[in-house]
Amino acid sequence: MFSKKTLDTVNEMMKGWENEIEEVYKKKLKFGCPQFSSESGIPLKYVYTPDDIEDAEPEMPGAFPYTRGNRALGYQYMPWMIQLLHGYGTGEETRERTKYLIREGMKGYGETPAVLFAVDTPTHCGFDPDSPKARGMVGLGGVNISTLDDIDTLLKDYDLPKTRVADNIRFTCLPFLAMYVVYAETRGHKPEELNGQSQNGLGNRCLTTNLPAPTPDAQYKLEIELIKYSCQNIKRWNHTNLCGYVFGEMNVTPTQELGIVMSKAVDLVEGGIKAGLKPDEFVPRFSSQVHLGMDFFEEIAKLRAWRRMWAKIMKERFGFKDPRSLQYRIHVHTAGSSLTSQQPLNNIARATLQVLACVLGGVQSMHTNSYDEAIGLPSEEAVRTAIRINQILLNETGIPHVTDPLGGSYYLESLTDKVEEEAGKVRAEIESRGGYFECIKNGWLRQLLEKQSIKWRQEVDSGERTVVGLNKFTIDEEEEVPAFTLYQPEIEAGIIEKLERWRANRDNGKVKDSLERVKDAMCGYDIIEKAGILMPALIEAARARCTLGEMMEAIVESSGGRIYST
Amino acid sequence: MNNNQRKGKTKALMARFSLDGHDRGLLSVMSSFKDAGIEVVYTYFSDPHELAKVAQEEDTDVIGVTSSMGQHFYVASTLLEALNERGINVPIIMGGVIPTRDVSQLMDMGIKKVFGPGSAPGDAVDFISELPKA
Repeated sequence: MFSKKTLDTVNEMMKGWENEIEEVYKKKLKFGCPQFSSESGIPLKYVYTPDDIEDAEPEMPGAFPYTRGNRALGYQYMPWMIQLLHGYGTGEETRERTKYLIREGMKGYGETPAVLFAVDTPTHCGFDPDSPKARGMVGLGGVNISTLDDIDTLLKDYDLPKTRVADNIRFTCLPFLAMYVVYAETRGHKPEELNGQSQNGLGNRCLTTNLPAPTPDAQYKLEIELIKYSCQNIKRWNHTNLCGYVFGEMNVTPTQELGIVMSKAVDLVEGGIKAGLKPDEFVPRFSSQVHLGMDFFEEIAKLRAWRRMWAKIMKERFGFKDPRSLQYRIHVHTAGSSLTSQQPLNNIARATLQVLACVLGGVQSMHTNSYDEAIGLPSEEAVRTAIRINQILLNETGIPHVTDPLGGSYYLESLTDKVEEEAGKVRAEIESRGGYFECIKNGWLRQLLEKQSIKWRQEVDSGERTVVGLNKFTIDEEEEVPAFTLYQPEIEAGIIEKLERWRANRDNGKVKDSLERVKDAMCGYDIIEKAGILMPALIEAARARCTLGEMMEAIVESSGGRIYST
Repeated sequence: MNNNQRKGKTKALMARFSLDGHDRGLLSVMSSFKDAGIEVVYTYFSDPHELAKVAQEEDTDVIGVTSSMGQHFYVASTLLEALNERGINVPIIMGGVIPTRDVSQLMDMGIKKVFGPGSAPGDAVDFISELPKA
């Protein structure tokens, strides 16, 4: 990339610089030069020079391998989506929060409203609110959804084809998608008109949250089934979030996160092909929710390496040619695990740095955490501030005017290469152990996650890792930030009552028959090649007014029940 | 390790409500307990009666429960009730995301100690080591 003359000059300059460190800092000042490394353990130099990127190939945004961005223009043409995950209590409460967020600036591309909603754990796992398993948890951590009515409560004010609907659901993505398709049908819309995102990350969520999940074999089948259905019926649907966020929250390093996600991508792409899909039908609709932690430059390098690694795997390993299959889209969720409940306003500074890293890394979409999220659900004022961080960056700083503004930086380019290399090692290790889904089954991934999260805590306790306000720069009197609270028993009772009315107003014979057909379909779906037979049965069940829990129960009953990962 | 007043190893039943997946804190606490020589029994429960049954069968010295989604009052009240029904009097400690303003109410209900966000695993080890053995 540089002429020999330039590199020679650099070498000369380096000698002078090294000499100064030796003579002045080490000898005269007796400075014990520390050895720093990145969060992932990549050793860092004190300074980087052209020598470090000597072999780098020049690259432009919009061209393979897309390190600098997917398209020729970045934020100049399309600002990032400001999407905030939200949801709690009743559908009505969640709908009001959605409205508030949209009013304050939450949006998809252009002026499209984005509804990215969180559900409670009974909904994640597929226990209807009247199930004894759901006691005490209905409406906590998200909204409860068990019927078409519940979806209507959330979405009745929106023109569905013009709304980006993204459900943050762990294990019940398929029953929910079936219900959403049927709900849209009742409003006169065909599936192909819809636009949004499924999580389709059963495997990840089972590993990281350790909730009652379908078996690993069933998880894989359900993910492939969703991919096949949506590619063939809802062209604009983003079928899979190859989520790295949840691993980051268990303190895996940035390179581990990237390596794990790419190993999962390989398993799913292979599965999609086995299920009879053409690559260009389904590969362009993968995307990732990435964890954005506090190691500023390594996180930027990770975002750039993420795109490059994807492009190379899809081109070189699978031989895909359509640029859309090589260009990777990234949504970021700023790290919840970086927040402290102590001196919570400090979290605004953390989020600002994280959002800045995302913008410098060229992401498509972002969820910014609110400063009070280590204390409880965010207040309106706190979520508004989270949105404002984005708007300040977008409108006041001039930062988005130039694409990949750090491209060519000796340090960042070198770090991007190193992150790619290290993440490649993680991926190779997982592959040598049989691949991602195999490493769920054999426990290797869960062990890695547990090890990482215990290690993080030990580093905090020993003081080796600084968390401002937690183990350093603490204050005696913590300021009390009001915690957002719900009166859960009342919410739960109201939701159960609604569900009872729903069950009383349907043809329960039809319900039973359609659930039998779901079970038959799941039993018949014995190999990946048969993907495509379950979703039609679920859609029929949703038309028969089956609940989310009933559909999920039929699925797990015919696929080995529920498991915990440890 | 402050274990002078004890005869055997202290046994802690550590539990997580099965629909609250936040287990990072719990993992660290359990690891510190083991390092401090405390025997750990780990279980999930969807019904507090299951947990009370395990506490009785395992004859534990303390029960540690985690709650990070706002279900702490539900868990505390139903668990205390279930233990009461079996006539078990085992100290309960709670951890997780529990707002400071709820702590005194939990203690009034009968929870021995609450370790909210920012507590170190060592705090719980010290607390347990000083409990009189049942």
